[in-house]
Amino acid sequence: MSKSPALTILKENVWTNNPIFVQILGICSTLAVTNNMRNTFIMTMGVLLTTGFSSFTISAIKSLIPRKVRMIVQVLIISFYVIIIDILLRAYLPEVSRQLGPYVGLIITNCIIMGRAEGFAQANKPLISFWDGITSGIGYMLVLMALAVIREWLGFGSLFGLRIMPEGFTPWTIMIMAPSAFFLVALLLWFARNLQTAPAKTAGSPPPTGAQPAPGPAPAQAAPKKEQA
Amino acid sequence: MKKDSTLYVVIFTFVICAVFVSLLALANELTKERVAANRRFTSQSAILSALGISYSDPADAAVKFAAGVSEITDSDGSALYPPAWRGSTNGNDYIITQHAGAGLWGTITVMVAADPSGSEILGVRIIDQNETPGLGGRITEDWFLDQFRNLATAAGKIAIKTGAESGGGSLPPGTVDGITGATRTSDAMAPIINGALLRIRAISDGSALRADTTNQGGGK
Amino acid sequence: MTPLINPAILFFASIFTSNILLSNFLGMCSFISISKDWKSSFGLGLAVTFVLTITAAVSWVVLHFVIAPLGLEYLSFIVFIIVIAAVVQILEMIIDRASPALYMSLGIFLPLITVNCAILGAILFMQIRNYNFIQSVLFAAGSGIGWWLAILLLAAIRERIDKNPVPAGLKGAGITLITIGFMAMAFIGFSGMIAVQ
Repeated sequence: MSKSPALTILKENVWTNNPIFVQILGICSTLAVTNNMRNTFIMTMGVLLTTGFSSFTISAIKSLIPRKVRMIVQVLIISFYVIIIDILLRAYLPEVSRQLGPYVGLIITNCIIMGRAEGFAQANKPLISFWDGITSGIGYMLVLMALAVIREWLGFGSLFGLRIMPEGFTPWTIMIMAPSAFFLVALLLWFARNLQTAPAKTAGSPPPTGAQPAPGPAPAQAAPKKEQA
Repeated sequence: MKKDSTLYVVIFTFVICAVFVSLLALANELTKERVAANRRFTSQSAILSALGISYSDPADAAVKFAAGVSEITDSDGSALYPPAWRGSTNGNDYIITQHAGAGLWGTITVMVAADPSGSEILGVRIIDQNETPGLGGRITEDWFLDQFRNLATAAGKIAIKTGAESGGGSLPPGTVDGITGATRTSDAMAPIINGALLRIRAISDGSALRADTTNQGGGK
Repeated sequence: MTPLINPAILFFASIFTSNILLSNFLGMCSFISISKDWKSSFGLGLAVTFVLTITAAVSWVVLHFVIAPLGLEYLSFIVFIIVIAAVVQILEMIIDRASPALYMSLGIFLPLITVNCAILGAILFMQIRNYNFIQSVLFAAGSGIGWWLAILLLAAIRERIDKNPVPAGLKGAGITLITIGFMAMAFIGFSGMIAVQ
């Protein structure tokens, strides 16, 4: 049954091993734009597509890559897809491109993409690597969209640019500024951890060891998942 | 050839770079026209908005721009730097100029449309800014810019009111409200707009149109 | 067009009022993990400052003398990454030869920095805001020092927090993020300090 590993990967990347609240990876580039839902959506779509396609490409040519230049080649492939996304944004969504500014380029340094490339694509087939990349991106997107909903709602009184709060509403400026992003990620993390450990206690299986923040260089961060090919 | 031999590494890296760079060059070529068109539209839409002329889409904006606005050239016939235009709406003539100055975090570039004597601002639009989103960045919001719509200047200048009392009571002539919590950006806007007004007066009396005049405070 | 900001003001502003980590969210991954230990934080901060300043200078030169004249702006990301990787590699070799002691305190962090978003981020900011050479170098140095300051403060605070009863769900990353949030709020208080022009 080829569906089952795919679903397992989906569940893993979106929940049990969610890049943000379990692995604490990759928040740098996107936190800055989470005070606006539209920009967050476009940024996370960018990360999603880049992770998927670069994992796919790296997996496809992994047997050709010499060991010595492995990291550089991976970075090159990731940069390639990010530049394509940047070019597309500049051409078709210039306003968004201006608002996102340098953060689109920073997708290259997003630890998740490198983490999936090192941890999964290097050891698995192209299609499943693509799926792994996409699902990691989905996990990433869900968390950051949740953050963006709260920040835009309370900070601007709107969702996706449409004003939904009444005129008399005083926006919470703190929600537009940096500190709120940190607090909200911490709260989401707390919430998710409690949800994850509670059913695990009743099921008798050990809780996920997500308490340790990911140390060391990016390659060591993602636990390699080997698929029975 | 062994995968780890130096020759293979070199060839592989070269091929990979060549492939990717050429694909990127291709993508860049294909979208160049669009990107340039976007830039033109940004400038045209800013001018039309400053004049108070509405447009429905980029094509409509291009049509209205061609019909009502003409670029001002200096005595040599070359474009001014920063650029300026003559436009008319409702039967009146206006001069529109692009002007830039230091904001809190980077350059703020504005488009100001005013009558040739600089006594009334028709409208202001922000073309580029790097201010704090949600605070200084609010200079792009309609409520702030609409204050400049048909604003009469006081002796050819405007002022922006900042500080604890902003927002309450009536404002003296030629004064608009600043942004609460964004004093620095609000303070930075006044000299930029006044600089634009100065330039408009210099254009209408001809002093800025001499070909040897070096233009200060340019835009992109 | 180059903004007219005084480089010295830019230097102080990038440490306090627009701290690259506390306001711009760059450089978080290694920030959260390394700040557990004061000594490593010191070394990493020093390394980041060093690398940032040098790579900003080199990138500016490459941007203005190679990329711009050849019209290769669309390749800037790749070029910058390569510059960063190259500079880090060369620095590592130099430090290793010059001083093993320095290598132990700083050099071991260098590979970690290559994918640190703060480095590429500062360079991209420099490109977008069109800084000139002096502004770029001082902006980069200030950003590095700001990052260093932030990680030292966080390491100091974490030493105390970790001894206190923290709810299980918040242990580690959670309480660290909340601490960073409070630090960010505190740094906002600096924003009146810098007078522009």
